[in-house]
Amino acid sequence: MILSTHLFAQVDWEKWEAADISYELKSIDKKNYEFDTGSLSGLLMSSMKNIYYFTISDLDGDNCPFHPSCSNFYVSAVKQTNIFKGTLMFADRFTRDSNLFKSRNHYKFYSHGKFHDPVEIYTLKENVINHIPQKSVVDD
Amino acid sequence: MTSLIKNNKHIALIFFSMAVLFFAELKISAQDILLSQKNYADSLFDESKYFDAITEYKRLLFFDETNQFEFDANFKIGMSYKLGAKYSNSIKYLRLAQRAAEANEETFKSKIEIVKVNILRKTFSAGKLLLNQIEKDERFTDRTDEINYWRGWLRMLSDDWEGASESFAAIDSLHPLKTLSDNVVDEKYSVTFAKVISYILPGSGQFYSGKYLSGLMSLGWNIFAGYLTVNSFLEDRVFDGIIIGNLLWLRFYNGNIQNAEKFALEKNINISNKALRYLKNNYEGKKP
Amino acid sequence: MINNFVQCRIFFNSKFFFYHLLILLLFQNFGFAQSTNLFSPNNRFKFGNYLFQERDYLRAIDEYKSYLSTNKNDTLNFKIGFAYSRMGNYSESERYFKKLIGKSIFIDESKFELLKINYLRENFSDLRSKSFPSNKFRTETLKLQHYSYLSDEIELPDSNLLFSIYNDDELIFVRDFYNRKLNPEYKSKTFAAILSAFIPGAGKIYAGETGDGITALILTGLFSFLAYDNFQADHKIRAWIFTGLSAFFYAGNIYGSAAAAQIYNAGIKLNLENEIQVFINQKKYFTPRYDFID
Repeated sequence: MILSTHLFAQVDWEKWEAADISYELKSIDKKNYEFDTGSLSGLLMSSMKNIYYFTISDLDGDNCPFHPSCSNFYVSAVKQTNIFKGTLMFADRFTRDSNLFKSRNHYKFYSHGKFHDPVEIYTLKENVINHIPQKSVVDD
Repeated sequence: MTSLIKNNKHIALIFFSMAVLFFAELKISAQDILLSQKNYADSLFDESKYFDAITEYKRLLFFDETNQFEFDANFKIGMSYKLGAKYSNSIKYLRLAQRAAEANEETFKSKIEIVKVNILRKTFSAGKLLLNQIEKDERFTDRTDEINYWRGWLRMLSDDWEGASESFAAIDSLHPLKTLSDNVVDEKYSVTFAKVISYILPGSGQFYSGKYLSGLMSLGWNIFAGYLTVNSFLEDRVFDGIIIGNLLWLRFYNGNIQNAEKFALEKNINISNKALRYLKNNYEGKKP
Repeated sequence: MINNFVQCRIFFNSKFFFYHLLILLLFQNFGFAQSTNLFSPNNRFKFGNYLFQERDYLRAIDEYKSYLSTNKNDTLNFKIGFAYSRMGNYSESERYFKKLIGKSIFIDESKFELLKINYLRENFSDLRSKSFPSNKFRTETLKLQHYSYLSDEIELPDSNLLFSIYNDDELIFVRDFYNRKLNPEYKSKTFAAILSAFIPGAGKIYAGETGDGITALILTGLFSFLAYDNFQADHKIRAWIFTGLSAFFYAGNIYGSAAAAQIYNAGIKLNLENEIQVFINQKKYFTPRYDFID
């Protein structure tokens, strides 16, 4: 809730140092081929995700308008809840993905153009939704 | 009585000379103190202590009643903010410096500095606009080389290497940055070419930018999905044909073209970044 | 008259006069050096005031602290506390205001600022538990204390208590916030789920997601039809695949309807909280005008 107390926040309200200024261009986001070695189910899920990335997702173009993408959504949903609930959340996400009427008037979106659709808010847990971005363009 | 008057004159003389001395000293000392304050601020600036330098330049401005340091101090504050990557503040103070500028040289210096901040902030269109404005200004007709130099930099950082080459060529056909820009242009992959060949043969665009495995897999998927689609139509399963064609073949065909574009762009970004890294770390000339 | 002149003459001719002159000159020089040393306490004080007025608080605090190392000035101590509070450094701010309570003329101002920090830190019950019978900012204090009910999670008090203190302009907002907080237009999660269990997508439409609701209906319907069709044509494997898909979307939609209702409610709640925050920000936390600031 503390979002507007720093309304007049100035650059010099905190001491700063010389910055290392880069000339470089922003590189294209790459898929995260990480393995989750924390647990057996995590390893299994992340392996399946990586196989899916390698054989299909990296080859069939950019089809998911959301961030996180549907496959990432599924993996985090299972991680945050359980396999059963995560699957239900994924089915719901898939429905939203199939909705032809979704638009920028409805969803907040990132500067790279993807819709803002975080996993946490669908977990049905109490009091996890404690922030809604105020502007329609969400900062990364 | 006369001696008294004489004496009074004498006293008046003493007081007068005292006053002169006093005010002269006051003036000289005030000047000295402001100057030493400026040197102090400059030394902080030279030690890269930009936050503290700003404090001292602000102090200089505050006590400088005749505004003799208005340009210098504001300009240096702008520079300090620039080096701390606080670009909006930087531009604010550089504009104040520009307003305080008396000589043409000072105006030019502050305007070019604003262009440089825009380059670093990657607000290229604002920088471009300002450069055009400086170029049209009659006061700066003899500064075309500098204007072109910074236009070249703006174009390099905005990934327009052909344009950059043109700008540097206008200064000197053998300008080292022209050569650098030309090299980048030569090294770059053609995104259009990658896409066109991928339309004709799926996977070939990826081959062009050196991603052989991805190219082969793309080709594989397209052959497989194409076979399924064609087969369905041949067996008169039109519905299946449409579904498979749309959901599978078209998807991988489009994906193949997207990938061809993405990989070529990725390569190009790497090529640009290599040159930009060189400019940042190794180039000896003036930088924004 | 003449006598006087003679006396003067004697005075000026004496060595004493020259010593006096010398001392005077030295003294004047000394005084001058004081006034032109940019880092003299007085000059730091002046420069600090300028920075404070420019809201360059961190730098202003430095100047003030330097001045306070050789001088005493409660106004500056108050301004330092105020600046820290503005910059969001509440613990430092509290330290300064607490020092001022009990031994300065800024008791009331400091007490109010401490209350404000309680609000900013969301210590609402602490904020309301304090009462200052001699407080010259009684109205402002009550306004802030009562307003905190709107930001708090606890049950709202009687509206009469809440509304009595505000003026007409403020009351328009306060009343609106109060009513919306008392009777929020929430949607029921359970009802949304039940609706979707009967008609796929209906719960989503109820929760305000019309497009998603229609999509859910189409997807579930389509796959059910395909399953039915394939069972009819005796394509067992395909039929079961479509049945699975249909169940997948059906169940997902029931879950999603409940989630959508919860998100809708969170939206209502967070929007209200945001409006409440924006209003008090605009009102500057009902801070009275301190004539020694600005």
